[in-house]
Amino acid sequence: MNTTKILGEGVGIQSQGIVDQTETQTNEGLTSALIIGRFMRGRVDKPMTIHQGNIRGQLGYEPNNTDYIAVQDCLDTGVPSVRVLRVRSITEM
Amino acid sequence: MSNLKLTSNGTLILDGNSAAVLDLNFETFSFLKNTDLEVAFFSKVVTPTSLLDITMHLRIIDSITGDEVIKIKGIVDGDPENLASIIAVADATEEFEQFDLQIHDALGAILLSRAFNPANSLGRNKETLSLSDEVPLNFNADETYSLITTLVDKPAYLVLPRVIDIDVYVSLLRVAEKLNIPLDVEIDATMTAEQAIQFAESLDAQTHQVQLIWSPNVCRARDTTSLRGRKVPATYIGQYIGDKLLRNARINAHGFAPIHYAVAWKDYPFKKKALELRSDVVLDESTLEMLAQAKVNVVRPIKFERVMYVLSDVLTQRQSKNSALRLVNAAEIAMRTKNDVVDILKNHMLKPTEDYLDKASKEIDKYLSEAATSGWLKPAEDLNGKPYAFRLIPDKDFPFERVRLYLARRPEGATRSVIFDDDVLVK
Repeated sequence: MNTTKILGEGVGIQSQGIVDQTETQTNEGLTSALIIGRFMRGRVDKPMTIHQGNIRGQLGYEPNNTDYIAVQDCLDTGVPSVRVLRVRSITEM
Repeated sequence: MSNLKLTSNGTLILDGNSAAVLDLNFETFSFLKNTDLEVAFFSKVVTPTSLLDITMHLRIIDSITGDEVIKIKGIVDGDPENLASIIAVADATEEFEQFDLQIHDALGAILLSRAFNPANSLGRNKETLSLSDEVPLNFNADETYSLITTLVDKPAYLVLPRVIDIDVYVSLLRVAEKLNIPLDVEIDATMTAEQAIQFAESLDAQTHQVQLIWSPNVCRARDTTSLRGRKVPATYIGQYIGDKLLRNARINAHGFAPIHYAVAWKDYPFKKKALELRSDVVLDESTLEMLAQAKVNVVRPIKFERVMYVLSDVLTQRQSKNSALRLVNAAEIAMRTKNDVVDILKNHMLKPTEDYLDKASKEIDKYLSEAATSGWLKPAEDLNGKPYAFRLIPDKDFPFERVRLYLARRPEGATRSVIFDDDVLVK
Protein backbone atom coordinates (compact mmCIF):
# COMPACT_ATOMS: atom_id res chain seq x y z
CA MET A 1 0.00 0.00 0.00
CA ASN A 2 1.31 3.38 -1.02
CA THR A 3 1.39 5.89 1.87
CA THR A 4 2.46 9.30 0.67
CA LYS A 5 2.19 13.00 1.47
CA ILE A 6 0.45 13.89 -1.78
CA LEU A 7 -1.61 11.16 -3.36
CA GLY A 8 -1.88 10.97 -7.13
CA GLU A 9 -4.06 8.66 -9.23
CA GLY A 10 -2.87 5.45 -7.67
CA VAL A 11 -4.42 3.53 -4.83
CA GLY A 12 -2.95 4.69 -1.56
CA ILE A 13 -3.19 6.65 1.64
CA GLN A 14 -2.38 10.34 1.90
CA SER A 15 -0.97 11.38 5.24
CA GLN A 16 0.97 14.54 6.00
CA GLY A 17 2.17 13.57 9.41
CA ILE A 18 0.96 14.27 12.85
CA VAL A 19 -0.59 17.65 13.67
CA ASP A 20 0.23 18.71 17.19
CA GLN A 21 -2.84 20.18 18.87
CA THR A 22 -1.70 19.34 22.36
CA GLU A 23 0.22 22.55 22.98
CA THR A 24 -1.54 24.79 25.45
CA GLN A 25 -0.94 28.25 26.74
CA THR A 26 1.53 28.18 29.57
CA ASN A 27 2.70 31.02 31.76
CA GLU A 28 6.36 30.13 31.72
CA GLY A 29 7.28 33.79 31.33
CA LEU A 30 6.13 34.42 34.87
CA THR A 31 9.30 33.00 36.33
CA SER A 32 11.67 35.24 34.45
CA ALA A 33 12.99 38.43 36.03
CA LEU A 34 15.71 40.76 34.81
CA ILE A 35 17.85 42.55 37.39
CA ILE A 36 19.65 45.61 36.07
CA GLY A 37 22.74 46.82 37.89
CA ARG A 38 26.40 47.75 38.00
CA PHE A 39 28.92 45.02 38.62
CA MET A 40 32.66 44.45 38.62
CA ARG A 41 32.61 42.10 35.66
CA GLY A 42 30.23 40.84 33.01
CA ARG A 43 28.99 41.50 29.51
CA VAL A 44 26.80 44.46 28.65
CA ASP A 45 25.50 43.35 25.25
CA LYS A 46 22.92 40.87 26.57
CA PRO A 47 21.59 39.50 29.88
CA MET A 48 23.62 36.86 31.74
CA THR A 49 22.07 33.87 33.48
CA ILE A 50 23.41 33.92 37.02
CA HIS A 51 23.15 31.09 39.54
CA GLN A 52 24.79 30.27 42.87
CA GLY A 53 27.64 28.55 41.06
CA ASN A 54 28.73 31.40 38.84
CA ILE A 55 27.68 34.61 40.59
CA ARG A 56 31.11 35.29 42.11
CA GLY A 57 33.01 34.47 38.95
CA GLN A 58 30.75 36.17 36.43
CA LEU A 59 29.78 39.31 38.33
CA GLY A 60 32.77 39.61 40.68
CA TYR A 61 32.45 39.29 44.46
CA GLU A 62 31.42 42.69 45.84
CA PRO A 63 29.72 42.23 49.23
CA ASN A 64 29.17 46.00 49.54
CA ASN A 65 27.59 46.53 46.15
CA THR A 66 23.80 46.91 46.48
CA ASP A 67 23.21 45.45 43.02
CA TYR A 68 25.35 42.41 43.80
CA ILE A 69 23.55 41.93 47.14
CA ALA A 70 20.18 42.03 45.33
CA VAL A 71 21.22 39.24 42.94
CA GLN A 72 22.67 37.20 45.81
CA ASP A 73 19.52 37.69 47.96
CA CYS A 74 17.34 36.63 45.05
CA LEU A 75 19.32 33.41 44.59
CA ASP A 76 19.33 32.80 48.36
CA THR A 77 15.54 32.48 48.33
CA GLY A 78 15.96 29.25 46.34
CA VAL A 79 15.43 30.53 42.82
CA PRO A 80 17.61 28.35 40.53
CA SER A 81 18.81 31.23 38.37
CA VAL A 82 18.04 34.81 37.49
CA ARG A 83 18.87 36.96 34.51
CA VAL A 84 21.13 39.94 35.10
CA LEU A 85 21.91 42.83 32.77
CA ARG A 86 25.05 44.82 33.50
CA VAL A 87 24.98 48.51 32.70
CA ARG A 88 27.80 50.94 33.17
CA SER A 89 27.04 53.94 35.27
CA ILE A 90 27.52 57.33 33.62
CA THR A 91 29.20 58.53 36.79
CA GLU A 92 31.43 55.44 37.06
CA MET A 93 35.11 56.13 36.60
CA MET B 1 41.82 42.17 23.72
CA SER B 2 44.57 40.10 25.33
CA ASN B 3 47.52 38.44 23.69
CA LEU B 4 49.28 35.37 25.11
CA LYS B 5 52.66 34.43 23.65
CA LEU B 6 54.91 31.43 24.19
CA THR B 7 58.47 32.19 23.13
CA SER B 8 60.87 29.57 21.76
CA ASN B 9 62.63 29.27 25.13
CA GLY B 10 59.35 28.32 26.87
CA THR B 11 58.48 31.67 28.47
CA LEU B 12 54.83 32.75 28.60
CA ILE B 13 54.18 36.46 28.09
CA LEU B 14 50.96 38.43 28.17
CA ASP B 15 50.65 41.41 25.81
CA GLY B 16 54.34 41.36 24.85
CA ASN B 17 56.06 42.16 21.55
CA SER B 18 58.62 39.38 21.24
CA ALA B 19 58.55 36.69 18.56
CA ALA B 20 56.52 33.64 19.54
CA VAL B 21 55.95 30.04 18.52
CA LEU B 22 52.44 30.06 20.00
CA ASP B 23 50.40 33.21 19.69
CA LEU B 24 46.88 33.45 21.15
CA ASN B 25 44.66 36.51 20.70
CA PHE B 26 41.47 36.43 22.71
CA GLU B 27 38.72 38.72 23.86
CA THR B 28 35.83 37.79 26.11
CA PHE B 29 32.33 39.22 25.85
CA SER B 30 32.60 39.89 29.56
CA PHE B 31 34.46 43.04 30.50
CA LEU B 32 37.00 41.65 32.94
CA LYS B 33 38.38 43.27 36.07
CA ASN B 34 40.70 41.95 38.77
CA THR B 35 41.43 38.77 36.83
CA ASP B 36 44.39 36.49 36.19
CA LEU B 37 44.99 34.01 33.41
CA GLU B 38 46.17 30.56 34.45
CA VAL B 39 47.93 28.58 31.74
CA ALA B 40 48.97 24.92 31.91
CA PHE B 41 50.02 22.31 29.34
CA PHE B 42 49.45 18.60 29.91
CA SER B 43 50.98 15.73 28.00
CA LYS B 44 48.75 12.76 27.30
CA VAL B 45 51.65 10.40 26.61
CA VAL B 46 55.05 9.82 28.24
CA THR B 47 56.98 10.99 25.19
CA PRO B 48 54.97 13.55 23.25
CA THR B 49 55.90 13.60 19.60
CA SER B 50 53.36 16.03 18.20
CA LEU B 51 51.13 18.85 19.41
CA LEU B 52 48.14 16.48 19.27
CA ASP B 53 49.60 14.84 22.39
CA ILE B 54 49.43 18.11 24.32
CA THR B 55 46.33 19.68 25.92
CA MET B 56 46.20 23.30 26.92
CA HIS B 57 44.27 24.44 30.01
CA LEU B 58 43.24 28.07 30.27
CA ARG B 59 41.45 29.48 33.31
CA ILE B 60 40.45 33.06 33.89
CA ILE B 61 40.15 33.54 37.63
CA ASP B 62 39.50 36.36 40.07
CA SER B 63 42.91 37.57 41.20
CA ILE B 64 41.75 38.18 44.78
CA THR B 65 39.21 35.48 45.59
CA GLY B 66 40.27 32.84 43.05
CA ASP B 67 36.72 32.46 41.73
CA GLU B 68 36.62 30.94 38.28
CA VAL B 69 35.30 33.15 35.50
CA ILE B 70 35.93 30.95 32.46
CA LYS B 71 37.70 27.59 32.05
CA ILE B 72 38.54 25.88 28.78
CA LYS B 73 40.81 23.02 27.83
CA GLY B 74 41.59 21.38 24.53
CA ILE B 75 44.28 20.14 22.20
CA VAL B 76 46.86 22.69 21.05
CA ASP B 77 45.50 22.86 17.53
CA GLY B 78 44.50 25.82 15.41
CA ASP B 79 41.75 23.98 13.54
CA PRO B 80 38.28 25.18 14.63
CA GLU B 81 36.65 22.13 12.99
CA ASN B 82 38.58 19.69 15.19
CA LEU B 83 36.09 19.39 18.06
CA ALA B 84 38.84 18.59 20.56
CA SER B 85 40.93 21.66 19.69
CA ILE B 86 41.06 24.47 22.18
CA ILE B 87 39.67 26.84 19.56
CA ALA B 88 36.56 24.68 19.06
CA VAL B 89 36.12 24.43 22.84
CA ALA B 90 36.49 28.19 23.26
CA ASP B 91 33.94 28.84 20.49
CA ALA B 92 31.53 26.35 22.04
CA THR B 93 31.51 28.22 25.36
CA GLU B 94 30.20 31.31 23.54
CA GLU B 95 32.14 33.38 26.06
CA PHE B 96 34.77 34.60 23.60
CA GLU B 97 34.24 37.33 21.08
CA GLN B 98 37.58 36.44 19.51
CA PHE B 99 39.89 33.46 19.99
CA ASP B 100 42.66 33.10 17.40
CA LEU B 101 45.55 30.68 17.86
CA GLN B 102 48.64 30.63 15.69
CA ILE B 103 51.23 27.90 16.15
CA HIS B 104 54.70 27.57 14.57
CA ASP B 105 56.41 24.36 15.64
CA ALA B 106 55.66 24.96 19.32
CA LEU B 107 56.20 21.48 20.75
CA GLY B 108 59.78 22.08 21.89
CA ALA B 109 58.89 25.37 23.57
CA ILE B 110 55.91 23.79 25.38
CA LEU B 111 58.17 21.03 26.76
CA LEU B 112 60.54 23.73 28.06
CA SER B 113 57.76 25.79 29.65
CA ARG B 114 57.30 25.92 33.43
CA ALA B 115 53.59 25.36 32.82
CA PHE B 116 54.22 21.95 31.23
CA ASN B 117 53.06 18.84 33.09
CA PRO B 118 54.46 15.52 31.88
CA ALA B 119 52.25 12.42 31.82
CA ASN B 120 51.94 10.71 35.22
CA SER B 121 53.08 13.86 37.06
CA LEU B 122 51.16 15.59 39.84
CA GLY B 123 49.88 18.15 37.35
CA ARG B 124 50.47 21.19 39.53
CA ASN B 125 52.65 23.17 37.11
CA LYS B 126 51.01 26.29 35.80
CA GLU B 127 51.77 29.93 35.13
CA THR B 128 49.59 32.77 36.32
CA LEU B 129 49.57 36.01 34.36
CA SER B 130 47.70 39.16 35.29
CA LEU B 131 45.05 40.30 32.78
CA SER B 132 44.45 43.99 32.26
CA ASP B 133 41.17 45.53 33.39
CA GLU B 134 38.57 46.36 30.78
CA VAL B 135 36.01 49.14 30.94
CA PRO B 136 32.65 48.74 29.18
CA LEU B 137 31.15 51.47 27.05
CA ASN B 138 29.15 54.18 28.75
CA PHE B 139 25.48 53.60 29.40
CA ASN B 140 23.34 54.40 26.40
CA ALA B 141 19.62 54.73 27.12
CA ASP B 142 18.45 53.94 23.59
CA GLU B 143 20.70 50.91 23.26
CA THR B 144 19.51 49.48 26.57
CA TYR B 145 15.89 50.12 25.60
CA SER B 146 16.22 48.32 22.28
CA LEU B 147 18.34 45.55 23.84
CA ILE B 148 15.67 44.59 26.37
CA THR B 149 12.62 45.17 24.19
CA THR B 150 14.04 43.05 21.35
CA LEU B 151 14.94 40.06 23.53
CA VAL B 152 13.30 36.95 22.10
CA ASP B 153 12.69 35.62 25.60
CA LYS B 154 11.25 38.72 27.18
CA PRO B 155 11.44 39.21 30.95
CA ALA B 156 8.31 39.14 33.12
CA TYR B 157 9.72 41.60 35.67
CA LEU B 158 12.29 44.36 35.65
CA VAL B 159 14.23 45.00 38.85
CA LEU B 160 16.34 48.07 39.61
CA PRO B 161 18.07 47.60 42.97
CA ARG B 162 19.23 51.22 43.19
CA VAL B 163 18.81 54.39 41.20
CA ILE B 164 22.11 56.15 40.68
CA ASP B 165 21.63 57.45 37.17
CA ILE B 166 18.20 58.78 36.37
CA ASP B 167 18.87 57.85 32.73
CA VAL B 168 18.92 54.15 33.61
CA TYR B 169 15.62 54.50 35.46
CA VAL B 170 13.97 56.44 32.62
CA SER B 171 15.17 53.90 30.09
CA LEU B 172 13.76 51.01 32.16
CA LEU B 173 10.49 52.86 32.66
CA ARG B 174 10.18 53.08 28.88
CA VAL B 175 10.90 49.35 28.62
CA ALA B 176 8.32 48.52 31.31
CA GLU B 177 5.67 50.56 29.51
CA LYS B 178 6.55 49.03 26.15
CA LEU B 179 6.57 45.42 27.39
CA ASN B 180 3.71 46.08 29.83
CA ILE B 181 5.54 44.47 32.76
CA PRO B 182 6.20 45.57 36.36
CA LEU B 183 9.32 47.56 37.25
CA ASP B 184 10.30 47.21 40.91
CA VAL B 185 12.67 49.87 42.21
CA GLU B 186 14.34 50.04 45.60
CA ILE B 187 14.99 53.40 47.23
CA ASP B 188 18.40 53.79 48.90
CA ALA B 189 18.17 52.14 52.33
CA THR B 190 20.32 54.85 53.91
CA MET B 191 17.91 57.71 53.12
CA THR B 192 15.72 59.36 55.73
CA ALA B 193 11.94 59.14 55.40
CA GLU B 194 11.77 62.71 54.06
CA GLN B 195 14.47 61.99 51.50
CA ALA B 196 12.72 58.78 50.42
CA ILE B 197 9.47 60.69 49.91
CA GLN B 198 11.20 63.44 47.96
CA PHE B 199 13.04 60.86 45.89
CA ALA B 200 9.77 59.05 45.08
CA GLU B 201 8.19 62.32 44.04
CA SER B 202 11.16 63.27 41.90
CA LEU B 203 11.01 59.95 40.04
CA ASP B 204 7.46 60.94 39.10
CA ALA B 205 6.56 57.54 37.66
CA GLN B 206 2.76 57.99 37.70
CA THR B 207 2.20 54.54 36.30
CA HIS B 208 0.94 51.24 37.63
CA GLN B 209 3.99 49.48 36.21
CA VAL B 210 6.29 50.96 38.86
CA GLN B 211 6.52 49.97 42.51
CA LEU B 212 8.87 51.70 44.96
CA ILE B 213 10.22 49.80 47.94
CA TRP B 214 12.13 51.28 50.86
CA SER B 215 13.76 49.29 53.63
CA PRO B 216 15.06 51.59 56.40
CA ASN B 217 16.57 48.63 58.25
CA VAL B 218 20.02 47.37 59.05
CA CYS B 219 21.26 43.82 59.41
CA ARG B 220 24.43 41.77 59.63
CA ALA B 221 26.03 41.20 56.24
CA ARG B 222 25.25 37.92 54.48
CA ASP B 223 28.67 36.34 54.86
CA THR B 224 29.21 37.20 58.52
CA THR B 225 29.31 34.43 61.09
CA SER B 226 28.26 36.29 64.24
CA LEU B 227 25.08 38.15 65.12
CA ARG B 228 26.79 40.94 67.08
CA GLY B 229 28.90 43.42 65.20
CA ARG B 230 28.78 46.15 62.60
CA LYS B 231 25.51 46.24 60.65
CA VAL B 232 24.93 47.17 57.03
CA PRO B 233 21.85 48.53 55.22
CA ALA B 234 19.32 45.71 54.75
CA THR B 235 18.17 45.99 51.16
CA TYR B 236 15.01 44.04 50.40
CA ILE B 237 14.44 43.91 46.67
CA GLY B 238 16.54 40.80 45.99
CA GLN B 239 14.51 38.68 48.38
CA TYR B 240 11.31 40.32 47.13
CA ILE B 241 11.90 39.28 43.54
CA GLY B 242 13.04 35.81 44.64
CA ASP B 243 9.84 35.34 46.67
CA LYS B 244 7.81 36.58 43.70
CA LEU B 245 9.42 34.10 41.32
CA LEU B 246 8.88 31.25 43.79
CA ARG B 247 5.23 32.28 44.19
CA ASN B 248 4.88 32.25 40.41
CA ALA B 249 6.27 28.73 40.25
CA ARG B 250 3.30 27.45 42.31
CA ILE B 251 1.01 27.07 39.31
CA ASN B 252 -2.35 25.30 39.48
CA ALA B 253 -3.65 22.64 37.08
CA HIS B 254 -4.53 25.31 34.52
CA GLY B 255 -1.01 26.75 34.63
CA PHE B 256 -1.98 29.88 36.55
CA ALA B 257 0.21 31.18 39.36
CA PRO B 258 -1.35 32.82 42.44
CA ILE B 259 -0.40 36.33 41.34
CA HIS B 260 -3.54 37.66 43.02
CA TYR B 261 -1.65 37.17 46.29
CA ALA B 262 0.77 40.10 46.52
CA VAL B 263 4.24 39.33 47.88
CA ALA B 264 3.85 41.31 51.09
CA TRP B 265 2.91 41.22 54.74
CA LYS B 266 2.99 38.21 57.02
CA ASP B 267 3.33 35.39 54.50
CA TYR B 268 6.56 36.83 53.14
CA PRO B 269 8.76 37.89 56.07
CA PHE B 270 12.08 39.58 55.38
CA LYS B 271 14.80 37.10 56.30
CA LYS B 272 18.17 38.57 57.17
CA LYS B 273 20.50 38.21 60.13
CA ALA B 274 19.87 40.40 63.19
CA LEU B 275 17.40 42.73 61.46
CA GLU B 276 16.76 46.03 63.15
CA LEU B 277 15.02 49.28 62.25
CA ARG B 278 17.55 52.08 61.80
CA SER B 279 17.84 54.06 65.01
CA ASP B 280 17.41 57.43 63.28
CA VAL B 281 14.17 56.41 61.56
CA VAL B 282 10.88 56.94 63.38
CA LEU B 283 7.94 55.42 61.54
CA ASP B 284 5.16 57.22 63.39
CA GLU B 285 1.66 57.73 62.08
CA SER B 286 2.39 60.95 60.20
CA THR B 287 5.53 59.57 58.56
CA LEU B 288 3.74 56.41 57.47
CA GLU B 289 0.91 58.53 56.08
CA MET B 290 3.34 60.66 54.07
CA LEU B 291 5.10 57.56 52.76
CA ALA B 292 1.75 56.07 51.73
CA GLN B 293 0.83 59.30 49.96
CA ALA B 294 4.12 59.15 48.06
CA LYS B 295 3.23 55.48 47.41
CA VAL B 296 6.43 54.13 48.91
CA ASN B 297 6.06 50.57 50.22
CA VAL B 298 8.04 50.35 53.44
CA VAL B 299 9.67 47.26 54.89
CA ARG B 300 9.22 47.59 58.65
CA PRO B 301 8.85 45.54 61.83
CA ILE B 302 5.28 44.54 62.73
CA LYS B 303 4.22 42.51 65.75
CA PHE B 304 2.23 39.40 64.87
CA GLU B 305 2.69 36.32 67.06
CA ARG B 306 6.27 37.49 66.99
CA VAL B 307 7.93 40.47 65.40
CA MET B 308 8.40 40.15 61.66
CA TYR B 309 9.95 42.56 59.18
CA VAL B 310 7.49 42.71 56.29
CA LEU B 311 6.69 44.74 53.20
CA SER B 312 3.86 46.75 54.67
CA ASP B 313 1.99 48.01 51.60
CA VAL B 314 1.14 47.09 48.02
CA LEU B 315 0.82 50.42 46.23
CA THR B 316 2.00 51.11 42.73
CA GLN B 317 2.88 54.58 41.50
CA ARG B 318 -0.54 54.94 39.83
CA GLN B 319 -1.93 58.32 40.87
CA SER B 320 -5.50 57.53 41.84
CA LYS B 321 -7.72 57.38 44.90
CA ASN B 322 -9.47 54.10 44.21
CA SER B 323 -8.34 52.54 40.94
CA ALA B 324 -7.55 48.83 40.90
CA LEU B 325 -4.29 49.66 39.18
CA ARG B 326 -2.91 51.33 42.29
CA LEU B 327 -2.57 47.89 43.89
CA VAL B 328 0.44 45.78 42.94
CA ASN B 329 -1.48 42.51 42.55
CA ALA B 330 -4.42 43.98 40.62
CA ALA B 331 -2.02 45.87 38.34
CA GLU B 332 -0.07 42.69 37.71
CA ILE B 333 -3.25 40.77 36.87
CA ALA B 334 -4.28 43.53 34.44
CA MET B 335 -0.85 43.51 32.78
CA ARG B 336 -0.53 39.74 32.69
CA THR B 337 -3.99 39.10 31.23
CA LYS B 338 -3.40 41.70 28.54
CA ASN B 339 -0.01 40.23 27.60
CA ASP B 340 -1.40 36.70 27.51
CA VAL B 341 -4.36 37.72 25.35
CA VAL B 342 -1.93 39.47 22.99
CA ASP B 343 0.03 36.20 22.81
CA ILE B 344 -3.16 34.32 21.90
CA LEU B 345 -3.97 36.87 19.19
CA LYS B 346 -0.40 36.42 17.91
CA ASN B 347 -0.64 32.62 17.85
CA HIS B 348 -3.48 32.66 15.31
CA MET B 349 -2.20 35.48 13.13
CA LEU B 350 -2.36 35.08 9.29
CA LYS B 351 -5.13 32.49 9.47
CA PRO B 352 -8.33 33.01 7.39
CA THR B 353 -10.50 35.59 9.15
CA GLU B 354 -13.36 33.22 9.96
CA ASP B 355 -10.96 30.68 11.39
CA TYR B 356 -9.07 33.39 13.26
CA LEU B 357 -12.21 34.78 14.89
CA ASP B 358 -13.41 31.33 15.86
CA LYS B 359 -10.16 29.93 17.24
CA ALA B 360 -8.86 33.09 18.90
CA SER B 361 -12.28 33.72 20.51
CA LYS B 362 -12.42 30.20 21.87
CA GLU B 363 -8.91 30.37 23.21
CA ILE B 364 -9.38 33.81 24.80
CA ASP B 365 -12.62 32.64 26.40
CA LYS B 366 -10.95 29.54 27.77
CA TYR B 367 -8.00 31.57 29.07
CA LEU B 368 -10.16 34.19 30.79
CA SER B 369 -12.46 31.56 32.23
CA GLU B 370 -9.49 29.75 33.75
CA ALA B 371 -8.08 33.07 35.00
CA ALA B 372 -11.40 33.66 36.75
CA THR B 373 -11.51 30.19 38.33
CA SER B 374 -7.87 30.63 39.41
CA GLY B 375 -8.85 33.72 41.39
CA TRP B 376 -7.32 36.39 39.17
CA LEU B 377 -10.69 37.85 38.12
CA LYS B 378 -13.84 38.60 40.10
CA PRO B 379 -17.51 39.05 39.05
CA ALA B 380 -18.31 42.68 38.26
CA GLU B 381 -21.61 44.53 38.24
CA ASP B 382 -20.71 46.40 35.05
CA LEU B 383 -20.25 43.06 33.33
CA ASN B 384 -23.62 41.68 34.51
CA GLY B 385 -22.03 39.65 37.24
CA LYS B 386 -19.42 38.10 34.98
CA PRO B 387 -15.70 38.48 35.67
CA TYR B 388 -14.84 39.40 32.08
CA ALA B 389 -16.31 40.29 28.70
CA PHE B 390 -14.75 40.47 25.29
CA ARG B 391 -15.75 40.93 21.69
CA LEU B 392 -13.65 39.81 18.74
CA ILE B 393 -15.19 41.04 15.48
CA PRO B 394 -14.03 41.91 11.94
CA ASP B 395 -13.15 45.52 11.28
CA LYS B 396 -15.62 47.35 9.03
CA ASP B 397 -13.03 49.41 7.17
CA PHE B 398 -10.56 46.55 6.58
CA PRO B 399 -12.76 43.44 6.63
CA PHE B 400 -10.17 41.33 4.84
CA GLU B 401 -7.21 41.86 7.09
CA ARG B 402 -8.18 43.39 10.41
CA VAL B 403 -10.19 42.31 13.43
CA ARG B 404 -11.01 44.23 16.57
CA LEU B 405 -10.85 43.05 20.14
CA TYR B 406 -12.59 44.69 23.05
CA LEU B 407 -11.68 43.23 26.42
CA ALA B 408 -12.96 44.12 29.88
CA ARG B 409 -12.15 42.29 33.09
CA ARG B 410 -12.36 42.91 36.80
CA PRO B 411 -9.12 42.01 38.59
CA GLU B 412 -8.97 40.81 42.19
CA GLY B 413 -7.87 43.40 44.74
CA ALA B 414 -6.05 43.39 48.08
CA THR B 415 -7.55 44.60 51.35
CA ARG B 416 -5.33 47.31 52.77
CA SER B 417 -7.73 49.19 55.02
CA VAL B 418 -10.57 48.32 57.37
CA ILE B 419 -13.30 50.59 58.71
CA PHE B 420 -14.20 49.33 62.15
CA ASP B 421 -17.41 50.64 63.71
CA ASP B 422 -17.26 49.85 67.37
CA ASP B 423 -20.33 49.89 69.65
CA VAL B 424 -20.76 49.01 73.29
CA LEU B 425 -24.33 48.04 74.14
CA VAL B 426 -26.35 47.81 77.36
CA LYS B 427 -28.48 44.84 76.39
